[in-house]
Amino acid sequence: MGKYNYSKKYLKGLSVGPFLKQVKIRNEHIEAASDELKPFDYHSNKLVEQLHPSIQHCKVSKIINRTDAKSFVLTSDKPLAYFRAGQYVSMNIKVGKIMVSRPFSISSSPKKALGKNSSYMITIKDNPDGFSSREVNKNWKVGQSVDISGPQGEFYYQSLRDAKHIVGVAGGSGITPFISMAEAIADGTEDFSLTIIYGAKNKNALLFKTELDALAKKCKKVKVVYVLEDKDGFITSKIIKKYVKGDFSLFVCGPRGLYKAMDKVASELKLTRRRFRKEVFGEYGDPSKDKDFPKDLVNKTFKLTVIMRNKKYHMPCHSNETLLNAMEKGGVHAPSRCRSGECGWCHSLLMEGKIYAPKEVDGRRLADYTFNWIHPCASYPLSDIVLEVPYNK
Amino acid sequence: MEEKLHYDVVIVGAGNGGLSAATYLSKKGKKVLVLEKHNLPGGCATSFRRGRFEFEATLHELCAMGEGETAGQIRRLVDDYGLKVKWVPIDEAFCSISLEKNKGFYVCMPVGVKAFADEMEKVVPGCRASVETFLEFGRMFSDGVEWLAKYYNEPAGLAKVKMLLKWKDLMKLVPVDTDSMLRKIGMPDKAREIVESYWDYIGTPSDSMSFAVYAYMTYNYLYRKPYICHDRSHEISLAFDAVIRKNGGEIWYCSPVKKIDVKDNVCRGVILEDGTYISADYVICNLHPDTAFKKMIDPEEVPVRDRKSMNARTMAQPCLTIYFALDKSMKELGLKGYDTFLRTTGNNRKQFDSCNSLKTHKENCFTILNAVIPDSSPKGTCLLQFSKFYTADVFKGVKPEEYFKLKDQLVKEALDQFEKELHVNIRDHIEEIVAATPVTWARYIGSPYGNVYGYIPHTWDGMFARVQSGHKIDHTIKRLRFVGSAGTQMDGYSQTYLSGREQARYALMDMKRGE
Ligand SMILES: Cc1cc2nc3c(=O)[nH]c(=O)nc-3n(C[C@H](O)[C@H](O)[C@H](O)COP(=O)(O)OP(=O)(O)OC[C@H]3O[C@@H](n4cnc5c(N)ncnc54)[C@H](O)[C@@H]3O)c2cc1C
Ligand code: FES
Repeated sequence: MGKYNYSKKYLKGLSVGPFLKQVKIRNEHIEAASDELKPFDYHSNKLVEQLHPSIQHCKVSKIINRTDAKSFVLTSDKPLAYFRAGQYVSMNIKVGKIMVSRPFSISSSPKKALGKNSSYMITIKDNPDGFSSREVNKNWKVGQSVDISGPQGEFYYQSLRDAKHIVGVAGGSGITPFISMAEAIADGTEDFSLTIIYGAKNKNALLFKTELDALAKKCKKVKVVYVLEDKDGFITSKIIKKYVKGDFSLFVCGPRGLYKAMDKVASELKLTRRRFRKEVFGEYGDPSKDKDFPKDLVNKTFKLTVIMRNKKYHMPCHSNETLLNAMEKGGVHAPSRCRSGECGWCHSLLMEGKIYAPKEVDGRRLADYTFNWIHPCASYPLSDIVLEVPYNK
Repeated sequence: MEEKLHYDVVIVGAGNGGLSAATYLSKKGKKVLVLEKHNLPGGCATSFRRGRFEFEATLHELCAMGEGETAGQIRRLVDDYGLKVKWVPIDEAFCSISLEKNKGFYVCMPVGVKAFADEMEKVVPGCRASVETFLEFGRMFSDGVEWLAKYYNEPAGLAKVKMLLKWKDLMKLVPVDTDSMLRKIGMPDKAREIVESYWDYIGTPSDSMSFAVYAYMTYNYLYRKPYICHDRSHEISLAFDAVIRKNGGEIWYCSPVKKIDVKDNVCRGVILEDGTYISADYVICNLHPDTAFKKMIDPEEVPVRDRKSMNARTMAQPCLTIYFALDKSMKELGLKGYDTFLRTTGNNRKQFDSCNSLKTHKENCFTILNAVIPDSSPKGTCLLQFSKFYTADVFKGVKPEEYFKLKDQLVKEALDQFEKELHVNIRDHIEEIVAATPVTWARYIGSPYGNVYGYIPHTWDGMFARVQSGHKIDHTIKRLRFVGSAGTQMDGYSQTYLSGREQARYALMDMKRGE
């Protein structure tokens, strides 16, 4: 042919025979093998089931009453999934006829999830105006069945990324992941130093004070500083500087207000971004005061059509309430985990309509904007909406 | 009353193969339903967010793309499907490092057939003639493969005669292994070790890899350039989702299939994890056959051919991927190159043999997305990814309570090596870090021990032999076909898109014949 500039000498001794016989040879290899149907028993896949169950069926086996909060010890027939201290689970809660999911940090050591007595502790602050939390704290008894997700979230110590010393700033129920971390340090699961700076209105509002004091006493790597509003004011960079020296990572968990305050503190302390980590805080709340929220659409009601598989559901939605909430109220238990715009589990297709997604909690991927995918947990309707959501039982 | 659900075609899994098959069939007017276990399309072709970053999960580069006059079969496929994706060509081929004592090298190779040969000559004086010969073979294979594609890889009658006349050289060189052919054309050892850097993408060492396949791939990268998309591979997967819907298809997320209903050697539909039964005229399965046959199909219905096949073939590689978001730019950190193969030795048989345990595996292929897409992360930062491929269930024996520590340990070892060999400081700049182990991959895609490459293409189980068996011989259950990395075309984005289209086309033919 001469079309290709290589010498034919390299093809000497080669024929098309082997090519034409390839299929035959392959068939012979296959034919020679055993016809046993071996089981699917790979170790990595077993680890998946153990570490990342999609759902864990639990029972409340113990309830601990605290001032303004309750702790629930969850157990199951199977060992619960091991996790990283600081992670949360998404818990299904039935309020009347409505099924919702809410994230809760695990407030016990990963070690307690091991072995025969495997358990998680979940701690829920009383909130008289709350919807799901009130239901749980008021009505749940020992023996209550609870379905929870596998462990979720990125709020944990990572030895290569973080400083060996973590300063954990907590507000209110935000103490829960730090309890797990402190316990994990004390029982040898984790190896880092933790200084917890725990802010509360007053002494009575502190959750876990007895436990924290005991942990600090028992373990040199755990320190606890209480900052009481009525006595010491708010948590400031000055307070942090007073208790912490050298390189550290700042971890924050608590109400949204605390995050704003800590942004300021972090900049005062000249922390680089990698030294400053925030747990997701859950629902964003009413967005209508946001600067970029269209003023003429505050408090408007629209029509929401939800497509789940081959079914359609119709319900109202309000511009000051997330689409996820609107769906739950309307009887559609759409998937969710973090409810903070971050994890992407609620990822849904906006077929029609316009939404408002607050920048602070807009955790979408780039291509989501191009193809109109949204996170309903952090999206507010600005018109009638048609939304296709992933299936959830 | 439960309504009865029926579709022309049910696709199990929205990975590359499944999405491609769904696009093809929906475009042909079939009523298609895609069932996906996860809440997103793409399987491996996805992205994830951490803090202010979005990481690419898997895509290093697409092969056989090109543009305009260099357009290859994948460009035609994506255009034909109507995918709306911002494709980006990559202006470098690869960097390759060998750490071998006295024989080591660190080279960065350009794209462009001529530029590549020039650079090779610079790095290994005297190798030019052999490199040019290699690339000429590559050009011939590339033309041959494009020619075969016109006949859907099944030239018959006159076309078959034509093939025997016109593509004789191609056929002669398919069964020859890469190593011995490169030696035969007189390529010096060092040049050969550089040229063979890509072996990891194919998943079998060059002494058992088809010369034609390897030269085809290399030539395609150099001539047509490697491509990625601008907004991570999530963009491609969502583009597929959009096209399938536009074609009238449906996709159900968070809908894992539990059983594929096969009775009397005919596939009749699927049962979802929640018990929903969906009947279908045809089922296309994007899962690894090992998963489907061992977990989802009635054991009595697993054909002897498939039982034997599974025992004869070798499971391909699971991987460990580590993603870093760094708070300094590439330049500030002293990093260069988009795609680099960091190897302890230039001998890829030795590399391959070390991949069967966590202890011995020391190879690393790393990519820096900012080298191609500077704004893929905020200014003054960059995204670095390590990929390590194993050849066994390497987490065997690991207990849940040991898992996280082991994961951190593996990341540390890889980082130690990287910093030491490249003389850079990474650890003081890690803003985000994510490691996906074989367990993570097994979790997301459900494959046997996180295998992402299907089956190892041993000399006897290479691409050409598979392609020739893919229409009839390996089609063992009526109305059921497999697509994806374990398919005829082997692993990789381009190849799994092709596999999806190929099997979808066969399925259409089967349906037309009423089979
Ligand atoms: C990662 C993470 C970990 C957490 N860990 C803990 C923890 O360990 N302990 C703890 O106490 N808290 C924790 N929280 C917070 C906890 O999830 C919330 O406090 C809890 O969901 C609040 O419940 P609530 O009853 O107060 O509010 P809810 O009322 O359940 O939720 C508030 C939202 O629900 C909406 N809503 C009102 N009515 C309805 C309705 N009919 N249907 C649907 N939605 C409605 C409201 O508009 C409001 O926006 C955590 C949060 C996150 C994100
Ligand atoms: S539930 Fe996590 S992003 Fe919406």
